[in-house]
Amino acid sequence: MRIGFLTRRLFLVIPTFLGVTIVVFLLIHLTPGDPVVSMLGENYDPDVAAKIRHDLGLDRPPIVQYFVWLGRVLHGDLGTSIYTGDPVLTLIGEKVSTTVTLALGAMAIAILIAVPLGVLSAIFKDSLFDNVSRVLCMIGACMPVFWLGLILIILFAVKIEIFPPGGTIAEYGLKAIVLPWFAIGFFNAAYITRMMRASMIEVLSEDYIRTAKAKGVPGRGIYFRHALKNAILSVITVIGMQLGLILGGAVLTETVFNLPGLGRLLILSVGRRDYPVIQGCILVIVSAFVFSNLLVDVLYRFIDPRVKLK
Amino acid sequence: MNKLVKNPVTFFGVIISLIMIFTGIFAPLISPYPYQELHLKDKLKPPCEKYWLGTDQFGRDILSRIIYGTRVSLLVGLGGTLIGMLFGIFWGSVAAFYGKWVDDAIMRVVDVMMSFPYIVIAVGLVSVFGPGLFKLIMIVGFLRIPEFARITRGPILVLKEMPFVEAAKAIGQADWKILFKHILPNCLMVIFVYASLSIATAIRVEASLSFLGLGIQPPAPSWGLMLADGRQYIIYATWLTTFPGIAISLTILGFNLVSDGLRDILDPRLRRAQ
Repeated sequence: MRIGFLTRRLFLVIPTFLGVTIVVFLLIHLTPGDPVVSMLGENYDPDVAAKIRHDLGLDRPPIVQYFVWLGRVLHGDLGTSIYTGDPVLTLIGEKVSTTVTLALGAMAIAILIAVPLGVLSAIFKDSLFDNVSRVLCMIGACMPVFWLGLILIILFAVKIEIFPPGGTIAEYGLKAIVLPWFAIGFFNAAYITRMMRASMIEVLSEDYIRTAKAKGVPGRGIYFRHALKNAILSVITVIGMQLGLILGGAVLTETVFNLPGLGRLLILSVGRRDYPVIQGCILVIVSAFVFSNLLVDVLYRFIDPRVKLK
Repeated sequence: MNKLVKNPVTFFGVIISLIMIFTGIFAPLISPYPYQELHLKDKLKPPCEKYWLGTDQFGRDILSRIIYGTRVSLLVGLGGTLIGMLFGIFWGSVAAFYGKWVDDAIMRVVDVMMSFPYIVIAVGLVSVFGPGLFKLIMIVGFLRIPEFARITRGPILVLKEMPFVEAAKAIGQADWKILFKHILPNCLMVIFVYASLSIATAIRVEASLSFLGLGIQPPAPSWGLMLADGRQYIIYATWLTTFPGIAISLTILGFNLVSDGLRDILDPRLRRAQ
């Protein structure tokens, strides 16, 4: 039965992934005028333009172009950078580890802050602690991640010189990524805390919690053995969806801290009109998002026995 | 409106939002200097009596640029939301009302659009269409369509089974009349709640794109652009990044609070709990 669900869920991802590839493919074709002219800008040369047009397959009918491009993508060929001449996959491969380290660290920080804060807020609902935590969450959710990054630079790199204001992991080690982790982590923690609090409050009002209390189960047992286990399930889904915010945040945070990740590569490529790299970066980021959601969806159904695995 | 003002937190949000809207409308009247006016002798001045929030690297008054920046943020926020709302309502209504393959087709496209992280697809679209205020409004509007479609679809799926719809069908009213004249007005409040949240999101996207250099182009004033410019002087001119950031956060906070307040008023479960 579980295998059946897994297969069905995997098949449902295929149309979404194909849709994503169509949108990414169309990006280059939506460019007003001739995309090759836009790419080359002032360096336009008819021979070079013809070669690029042929390399990108732009001299064929669009539907043929799409399937040729999709075939290449599925074989791991994302094309060649117009700016550097390197294969796009190599360029992305060089940067992806920074973005993955950034995303995973930021997610870990968000969870470590949000889960205890949300649980305590729910347990001490309407107390001073709860009100302060709610205000902090509201402020956190309203602060743009790039501004939070700049504030962290002012505080911890300019005023107190603990961390570098920017730079690569190769230069400063993990110190280079601590402030970006916290910039994205705080922002996402604000959302997850609100969800955790709401979910915990809902669970705490359930009959079985009242029964446990009536039976004399101590507070810690009620909160952590009965309530948390159930409340955290709905938060898991949110955490999966947060990955999109984190990847979006990575584009901005990598720019703030000059981190050479996938997001920075995307922004630099937009400035260079390097469309194959833009397409490659977007495809990789969106695929990561789609598949992480799939993973969370599958995990959710395995963790929560109440969800029917049809 | 009375209920909206009764809750102090929501009231705070309403006040912030109104201040921002009036600041945007009356920017030329309340701004101490024109936003592009250079005071070359007063470059990078910290906040003082003459320049309340200091000046930037060209000696432009930060307060005036923030005041004019409100216009840009609100134009993108309101314009983008309006476009997203109009198209989103249309597609969401059609999907819910006709159901079957029409619903499947529209919602699969919506699913695909929603599987893109917001900033990533916005960056992709700017790379194609280029930066600028009008294009930014269009891009933000386009990105809001899927969510409005989804928000609209839910209530219409329930409403279309109601007896008044059956009665309208029985007297032979046209589909578009039933949909847009009878069903849609019943779910407009839900859409408006979401719209106030959407304004905040649109403002955030505008600021983010402008920060990345892909939104509003200099010398036009945009809060995101001001933050990007201030980044280079972060060591000795922190006011360049502090005040525009506060402006963005306050505006987002204002619209978020209004949205939360509206939702609390409209949600009967929350109302009962209160």
